[in-house]
Amino acid sequence: MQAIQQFQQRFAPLRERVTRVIGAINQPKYHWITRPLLAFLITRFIVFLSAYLAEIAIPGMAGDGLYHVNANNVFLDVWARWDSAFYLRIVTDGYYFAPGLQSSVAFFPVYPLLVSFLTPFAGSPLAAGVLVSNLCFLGALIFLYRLTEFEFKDSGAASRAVFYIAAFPTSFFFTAVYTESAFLMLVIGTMYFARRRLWVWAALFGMITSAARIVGVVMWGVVGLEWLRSHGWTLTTIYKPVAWRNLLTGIRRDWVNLLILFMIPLGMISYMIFLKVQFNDPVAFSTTQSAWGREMLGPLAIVWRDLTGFLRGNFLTGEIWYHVMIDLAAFFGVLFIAVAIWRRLGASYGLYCIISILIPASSGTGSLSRYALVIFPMFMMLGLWGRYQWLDRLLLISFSVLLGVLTSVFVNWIFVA
Amino acid sequence: MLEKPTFHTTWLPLGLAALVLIVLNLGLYTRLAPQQSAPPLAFPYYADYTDPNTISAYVPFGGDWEVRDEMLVQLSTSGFDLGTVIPLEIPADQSYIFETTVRYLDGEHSGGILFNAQQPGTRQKSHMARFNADGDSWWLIYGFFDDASAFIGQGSVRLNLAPRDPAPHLLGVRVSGGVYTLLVDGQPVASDVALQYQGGGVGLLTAAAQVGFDDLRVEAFDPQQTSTPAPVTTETAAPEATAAPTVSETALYGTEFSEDGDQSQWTTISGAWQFETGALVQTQPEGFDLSIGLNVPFTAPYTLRAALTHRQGTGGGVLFNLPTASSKNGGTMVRYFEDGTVVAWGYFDANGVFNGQGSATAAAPGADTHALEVNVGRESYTVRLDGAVVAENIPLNTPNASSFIGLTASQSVTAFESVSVSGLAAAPSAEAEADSAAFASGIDSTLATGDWRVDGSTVTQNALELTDYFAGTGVAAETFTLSVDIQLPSDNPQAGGGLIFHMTGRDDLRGGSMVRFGSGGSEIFWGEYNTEGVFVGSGGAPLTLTPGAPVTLSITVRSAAYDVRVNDALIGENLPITGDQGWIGLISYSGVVTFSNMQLTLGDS
Repeated sequence: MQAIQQFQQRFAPLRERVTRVIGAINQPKYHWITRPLLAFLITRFIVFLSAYLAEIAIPGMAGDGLYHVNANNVFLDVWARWDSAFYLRIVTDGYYFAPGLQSSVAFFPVYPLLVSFLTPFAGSPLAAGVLVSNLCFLGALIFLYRLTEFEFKDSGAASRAVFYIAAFPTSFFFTAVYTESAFLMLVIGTMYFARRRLWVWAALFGMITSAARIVGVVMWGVVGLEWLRSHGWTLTTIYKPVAWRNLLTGIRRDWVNLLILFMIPLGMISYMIFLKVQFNDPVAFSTTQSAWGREMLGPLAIVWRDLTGFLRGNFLTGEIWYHVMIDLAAFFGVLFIAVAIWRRLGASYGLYCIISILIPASSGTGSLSRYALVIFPMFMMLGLWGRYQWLDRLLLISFSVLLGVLTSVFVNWIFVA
Repeated sequence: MLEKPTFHTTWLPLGLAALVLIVLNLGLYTRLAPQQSAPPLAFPYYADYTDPNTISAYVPFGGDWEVRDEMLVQLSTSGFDLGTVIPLEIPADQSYIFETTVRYLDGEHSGGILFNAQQPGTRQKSHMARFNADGDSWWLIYGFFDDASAFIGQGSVRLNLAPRDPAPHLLGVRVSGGVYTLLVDGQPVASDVALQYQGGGVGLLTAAAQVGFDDLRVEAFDPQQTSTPAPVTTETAAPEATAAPTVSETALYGTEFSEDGDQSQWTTISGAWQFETGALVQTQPEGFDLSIGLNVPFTAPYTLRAALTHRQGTGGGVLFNLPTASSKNGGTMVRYFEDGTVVAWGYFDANGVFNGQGSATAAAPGADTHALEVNVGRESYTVRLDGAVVAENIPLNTPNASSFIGLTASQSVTAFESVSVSGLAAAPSAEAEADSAAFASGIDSTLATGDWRVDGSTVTQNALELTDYFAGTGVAAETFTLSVDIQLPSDNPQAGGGLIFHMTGRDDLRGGSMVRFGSGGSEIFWGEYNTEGVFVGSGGAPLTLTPGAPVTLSITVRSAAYDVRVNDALIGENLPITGDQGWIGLISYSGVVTFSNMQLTLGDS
């Protein structure tokens, strides 16, 4: 007993100091950084631990094409799977394009360029890739917090939103050598500045976004809608003369910012010029899509095809397309929430959600659960709805469990998305 | 509301945007542009794969390549065109040979070589030749991958090798002067194929197979010192016209593939041939030299005409001089090549190996119907496309006394709307005559069976085996009177000799009527050769001739019957004949039999 008292007395100053520091950090004015950082640290701990344990404990698949970039460092190696090879090869050998074959031109240049810049400091493209992914993810969480708080004026909703996206079952892609985190940061950044009416910043982020992923150019339209909304013209007021008068006034007084928004596609145009110069095909990123077996049938036909195929499986024996189940859940989930997003946050958010899910769904449901990751308005709405404790707990528990499972699946070369 | 530009809201992001654009573009062209992963290897280049590091500079594009058992092995049996480029920089004007052994290990097809590869890490813009299985046959297909990496076939040759033969085979290419020659086990199998791309690197590739490569060499060679047993492509003079009477075209065969056409006459050799009303269509869009033969023999000279339309792709053409209707081996082919802007010709040897004899540019056929015509002579042929001469006096590799024709299509769906063959037959002429010299000069001993020798106006058959020997005279007629002195040997009581007329072809006795002495002159008999070439007797008469003495055999042929005279004595009268015109020949049973004093008078007597 005396020993305990001595111990408590000895460490009392330290405890007071820690309490004081935590109290200082945990002030509402720092929530924009502490909450995203906490979400980042907790969820990355889960994915790193899951990945490591899964890699060393589970005899994974081996065979043709199942590569290991750095078998001597399991912590890093597990984050290079599937499409990661394309990014790493772009960094080491540059782009290549062979029509009819899966070619690296399908992958836009922002992410590999960032990895390329950081490689000399990180020591290897793989380490640089993991570093870029995680830094961008942290940046994305911060932007998401700020944007959610801006929209709902609710720091609780913002906190929940960042936890939900960080714990989302496929959020391990934010740590892997994939472009998801960079794109997410850029797209939320673009929206954040657009909503704040900082048009030049929005154009800057939009421009980089358009060079980060093919759907990045969608942000041109999204920001354009925001500009229109800022001048009193929305899709819901389209029939009102006052909306059009407002628009004319806006164009007359704010044409400079409108013009600046035309910077957004310059990122994609730069990449297209590069493809034209190098491979004589400015849309090589589209040309090569057929090599992935994608065929444009439209989202309805695609979803119907995969849904019926999925339902023909035997659930009892487990002979089902498990990843189709995840992808279809993501598809319908996004569409469902998109309605609420449109009503609550406006057309720009709603259209971004719908377009972001319908474009890939037009040629296949594969990887939709990964594409859903970057549909950030969905997590904003979930953050708002998470004020109901039962939903909050349901989401956090189910997301976290599935995150661990799917991370283990991913690192063992079983296709997830 | 337009806000006043500030540093933080306007100028800073604008400056950053400019900076980002510059960095993005600089990064693209300096850091992300296609790079060679290794410096090019030096030419000449040799590899025996005893060192696993040999392939460290290679640039693979698909498959799983590794050195095993001192071979370079591509392990994956799934996927086509899995390749690795050996990054050499062979100058465009460098003549070189590239050879490697190819050992089939497992899988469906096999492997092959890339050459004149324009860029590492891709098959795009490179030439390719590889082994390919097609049922029970083993082929070498060759062509190039174009700017879009699409394979453009330039030809294929059937190899005299067992499919998926596990023994190593040497596959090579000699590149020189804008053309290349492919070699299998050191023997040329395709010559003078036009190059699409000049210079560059070489490589290896596989198609749905595990393949081992070894003993690879890429080195210069002197094209002047290389003897290539390629087909003769020099022009040869047309053979002298036979001393035949005036001739004109006669239809020997013709079809427009109407519903009642005799489909049974056609024998599919390869591909998917389908009879439609008004066309015979090869419907398989992929594959080379997919052919069908017409089971009707023809004897040169004749003219083959085909009207063809490409429904998909290009590659339609005709076959002729085929030894049999069920194989293209030994035959000659003329067809569209590449994208249809080239018409090429050549022959298949006995193993089915195609040997090009030449090519010419042509207007792309498009979807129009085109007339391909080949005038097949006794020793050469002439090609016409839409009435214009494309090539003349191309030597026939192995002139066949009697041969078949066929149709072919490569990498295309081709519809043949009509096929016709016309021969040369005598035009009726009361004034025309031919004597022994004319008959004798018309005999082609290379086409005749037996041992025929011509001495002035006397012709002798010297072979002694107890069988019929036959020689076409190159003379054709419809109605005529023909007499010939035949001297049978005194020491061969079984010998015989006589005449044949109204034959289907110049050197083809089918359909002809025969009259000949038999049993040393103790009999004479007559009859016809049917379409199978089998003699069917219809009559005869005993004779008492003096062996060793010449006997005059005379036949008078009218429109539907003929008379037979021996030493001016009428032996047979108004004997029926089914043919109405055709070629005249001599026949000898055993020997030695001498023919002399031949006289022909055309027209009804």
